[in-house]
Amino acid sequence: MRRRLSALASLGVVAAVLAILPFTLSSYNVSLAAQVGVFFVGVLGLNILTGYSGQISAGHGAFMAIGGYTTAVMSRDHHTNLVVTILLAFAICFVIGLVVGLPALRLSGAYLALATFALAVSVPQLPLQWSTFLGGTGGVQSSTTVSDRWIYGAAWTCSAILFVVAWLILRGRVGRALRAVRDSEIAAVSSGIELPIYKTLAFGISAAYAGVAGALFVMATNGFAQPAEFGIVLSLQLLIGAAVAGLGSLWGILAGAAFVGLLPQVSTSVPVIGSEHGRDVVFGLMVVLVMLVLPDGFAGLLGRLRALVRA
Amino acid sequence: MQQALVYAFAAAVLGGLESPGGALVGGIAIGVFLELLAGYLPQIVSLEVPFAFAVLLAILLVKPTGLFGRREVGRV
Repeated sequence: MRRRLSALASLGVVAAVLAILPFTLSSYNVSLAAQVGVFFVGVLGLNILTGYSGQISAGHGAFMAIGGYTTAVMSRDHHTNLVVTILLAFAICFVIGLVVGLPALRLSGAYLALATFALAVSVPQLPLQWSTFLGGTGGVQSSTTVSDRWIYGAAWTCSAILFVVAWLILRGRVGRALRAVRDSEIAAVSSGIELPIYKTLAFGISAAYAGVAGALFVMATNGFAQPAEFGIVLSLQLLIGAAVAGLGSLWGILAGAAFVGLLPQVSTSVPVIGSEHGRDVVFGLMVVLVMLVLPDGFAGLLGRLRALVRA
Repeated sequence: MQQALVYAFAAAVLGGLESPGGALVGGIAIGVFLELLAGYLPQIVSLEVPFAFAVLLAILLVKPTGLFGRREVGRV
């Protein structure tokens, strides 16, 4: 009981800080914070899949691409309200995630990682083929653009809603089933868990989250969906974010999202090495360092701190 | 560069993952297949990677061991 109270209190503090932030930061920093919100949704989704159900995906950028293109195309062709396009991206990616989850049932470990990696490389090729509908290399420009503060609000509202949804899903029967599947598939099946249903469901939910992240991502890049933006780097950023946050826990995701959302921007201002290419070096080094120091991510760090406080 | 990785993985899976000879056969088969595809259907040339991905998925679904791979037997 006391633990739940302290969790709720810290959530409240984080929410309050996030609500005040846009009124104190400059416009550029608000857009950076919005970027973190976008990654928050994506990393949260990937954590449901990789952290809870144990299926690794190196291709969630593909679902972000699908969500992002949904937003841009609907806005361009039908002038759909952007909030509606987020819901559409959620629904479409949920269905596609279920479809992708079916062949994924046959794969595990490194094979699944490589297959999803192939998915992430394949999907950005599709706009090049159907260039009249999906805009080719130039991309799709949605009909409405929104201010940084609007995106910030949208991104963190989605984050809050989806976080609560994820928490509700994962604390009960479904979450228990997913963790059982992750720890031992054979033990899970013998305890009466329908393996195919839970594994594809995890894929669907996780893809839907990535779709929302993609929709927000496109809004944050001036409503512009471009194949180059959804390359393999984006998928790897999500995976790194989930690992830095701590797999199988929801409490480190803010740190993981901030890590992948802010570090590339911040490290360009580091003197000497912080140039265009030094940025990637700094990012890679930091990933190695964080994983060495915190093998369980920030969630593991929080757990250790909690144990210290109690002792 | 990333695309080559997809072709390579598709070829390795086609040949069977722990079979060196299979990798050779798979690599040639995938390469010839994709080049023929691009040659005969030039209008879908930018779909080469998605096609390699489709081949990969098809093999994994129909014959996960590939052409020359052995079925893994594990102890519980």
